[in-house]
Amino acid sequence: MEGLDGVRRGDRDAQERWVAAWWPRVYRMALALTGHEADAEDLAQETLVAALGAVSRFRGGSSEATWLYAILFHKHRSRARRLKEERRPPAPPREGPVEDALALLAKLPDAQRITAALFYVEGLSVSEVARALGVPGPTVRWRLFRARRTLKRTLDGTRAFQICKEV
Amino acid sequence: MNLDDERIRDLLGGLRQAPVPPVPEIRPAPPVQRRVPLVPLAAAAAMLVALGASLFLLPERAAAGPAAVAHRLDDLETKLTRVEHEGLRSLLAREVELLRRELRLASERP
Repeated sequence: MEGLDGVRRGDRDAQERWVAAWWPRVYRMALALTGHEADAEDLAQETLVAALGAVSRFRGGSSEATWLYAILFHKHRSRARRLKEERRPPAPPREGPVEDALALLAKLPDAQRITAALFYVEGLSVSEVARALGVPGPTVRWRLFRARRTLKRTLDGTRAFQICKEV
Repeated sequence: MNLDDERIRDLLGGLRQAPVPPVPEIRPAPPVQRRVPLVPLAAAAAMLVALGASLFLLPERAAAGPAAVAHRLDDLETKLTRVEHEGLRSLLAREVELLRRELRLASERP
């Protein structure tokens, strides 16, 4: 990942390289949270703008990823509160691995969704997820347990439905 | 790592194949100049000054003289004889005790 020194100094090239390096990961996490491409793009942009504005205060106490995901989750929460009334309708059903993943994540409440996405998709450890979300490790484990249980039920239900269709 | 975990990881991993839109041009937001809220600040300062002044300027409550304490003591002792409730009696008895002590101190005061 692009070093932060140039970004802190306000070097435009360094900032652009840094944004380009993080954009796919931040966008993917935003997509996991929102489930909509357009919302995800807006959220990812808001996150990176906020991160660039706050980069001078980032002392490296955690990893850049943890710090960015913390901003992302915070932004998502405030957006969700702001846009409560004008919530978009769910995206039309499509097929493919991305849509399957989004459909599964949509079964989970917000906190479990980001926890599962950070753990399973981004591959963060429990302590990194805890730091990003500002919650204790046992809370992350509990959320993962609940998410796993919900997803397992969904998957088992889907499989049973497919078997029934085949029969 | 159990089988369910692996299955979930595989399925959610599909998200990594999501097409990523082109990187937008992102500039840090211009720093917001925070204005000091003058009116509330001035009001708070004025209240503090008024509070401080009141502590110095308001007259102190005069200490009750021995006559007033004695009067209150008589009153309570009379009441105490009429009260039957045990808890209330003990409370009044405690107050009587305190008043007796106050009366003693007041009579010793020069």
